[in-house]
Amino acid sequence: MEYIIKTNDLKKNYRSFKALDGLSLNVPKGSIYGLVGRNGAGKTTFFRILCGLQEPSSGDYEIYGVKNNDRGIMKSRRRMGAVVETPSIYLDMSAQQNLKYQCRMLGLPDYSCVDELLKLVGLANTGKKKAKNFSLGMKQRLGIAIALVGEPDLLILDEPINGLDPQGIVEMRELILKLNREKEITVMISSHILDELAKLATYYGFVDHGRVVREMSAEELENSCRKCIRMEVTDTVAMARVLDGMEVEYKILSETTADVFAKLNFSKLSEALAKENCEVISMNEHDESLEGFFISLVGGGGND
Amino acid sequence: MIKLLKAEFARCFSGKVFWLIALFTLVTASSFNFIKYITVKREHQTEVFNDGMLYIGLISIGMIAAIFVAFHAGGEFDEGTVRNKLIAGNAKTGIYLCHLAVSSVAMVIIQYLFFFTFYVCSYLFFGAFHHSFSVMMQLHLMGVLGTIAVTAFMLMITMIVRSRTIAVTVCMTAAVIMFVIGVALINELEEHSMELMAMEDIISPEKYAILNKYSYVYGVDSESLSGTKLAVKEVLYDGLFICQAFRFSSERELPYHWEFMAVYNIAITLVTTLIGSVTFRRLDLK
Repeated sequence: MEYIIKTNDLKKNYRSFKALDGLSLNVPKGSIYGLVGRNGAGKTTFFRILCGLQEPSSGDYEIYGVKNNDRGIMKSRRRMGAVVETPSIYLDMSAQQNLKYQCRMLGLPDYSCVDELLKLVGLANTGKKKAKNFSLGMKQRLGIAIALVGEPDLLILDEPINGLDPQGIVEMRELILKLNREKEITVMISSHILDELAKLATYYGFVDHGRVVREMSAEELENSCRKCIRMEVTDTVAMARVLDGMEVEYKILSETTADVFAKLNFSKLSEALAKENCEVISMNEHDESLEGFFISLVGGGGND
Repeated sequence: MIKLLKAEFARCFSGKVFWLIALFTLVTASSFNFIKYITVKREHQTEVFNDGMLYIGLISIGMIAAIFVAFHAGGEFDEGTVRNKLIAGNAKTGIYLCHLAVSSVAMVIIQYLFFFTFYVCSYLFFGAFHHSFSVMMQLHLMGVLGTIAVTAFMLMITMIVRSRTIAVTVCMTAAVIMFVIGVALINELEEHSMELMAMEDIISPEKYAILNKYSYVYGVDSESLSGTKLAVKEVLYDGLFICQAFRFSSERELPYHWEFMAVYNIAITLVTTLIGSVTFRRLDLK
């Protein structure tokens, strides 16, 4: 498999705080790579390092096979576009002026891509309106349009749907999918909204405390997300006793709800529950979500 | 870097900040003359020479550079646009030097805009100047070095603090402090120069040394100022751009120690650029 980004034991310290603590990951070409992690896990720090805003404390990374300490790294960066945290736009310029500035900076011979990009991100009708008067969603889309000037092969998006309304989220998702499928752009994306990320990503990297806990494809994730039976009963304490006796894996969710991770003979189970004076109210097949998988991977607990 | 320079020059000259400062300069330069014209008419003066005021633009360049640099370069950090420059393959040092080039050119244009506006208005209202045009040009050429030095100093602050608001505050404070130090130095070192001036009409460089054997600064009193203290103040007298600008306005030719002024200006530009670019390269950006 061809990888666009490779990192090897990447570390970044801010005084005594370890933002990245040996992060190693590989981003396959043509994928939509979802970077999943809690606040402070090191996702944005990693993106900043990739964009050249910060230098790693130790370790190295490659973009298109060029190492970060090689002279050619700046040339490699030209092949990528990024929106890290907030969109990087001149607020006193219009959308068109912002794109023209980017064209000039990249030394493009003309501005022919400007109208096309504005149309692509749905900002074709903004005219002379200054970017400072744009909504958050419009700013995000302009940020992506700027990142797309020069036809990059790699797009890095840090929390691109933060603060967007439901329609904005759908539009952003469609735009990312379109860029990936039609323009064959590899997209690396981080998001807190895991259900939304699950609709996009073809690869995942789970980050915790500055390390990649696990990397996997969407298919692998689907296989890893265990199916279970979500049962609603009158007394989960009694149910726990029965399931312990049957040596079955389960998870109590509330006083009346529990997930059972096993193939069971439900006639025998309901019989045993009845003996414990516990009634079964409902039973549903349930897929563990990306969120559930992430929690099971990194453990619960609060955000750091 | 050439592409970045082109883009930055285009941004500078299509932006509001530069043109607002240019408009302010035009209005200030012409209004000084207009006020003077009203005063002259009211007091029925017949001979008016405005030479000293030709260099007011240089005295105020610190304040103007503080605002321009903080808004032009400092805004990059607030709006996050410095990220686009880095992703586009520019090195941090390149970005720094590019800002220095653009800000310096913009400030030199403002410097000459003030001068020519003032010159034309003054010529129309009052006629001839004491200074010959070539001396004015020489002094303003010296002023270019000073303007670049002040701009480099303001840029160093802006690129290190990385915020438009903080940069404006710090740069303006620095400009005011430099102005106060400059005026205080001029007042202290030239304390007795007016008394001596009354005795001598035109002071040649040779007479400087004879009139005051303790310092090349005409009028220094050796009893109150000597040794290291005097040496430091002499360096500031030559090196501070405010002092230079005040001295331009009181001379009819290139001021004594003008070579030192040029060297100090170049040194300030180089040192501040070196400190600024090395620090900026090491900083973690967001």
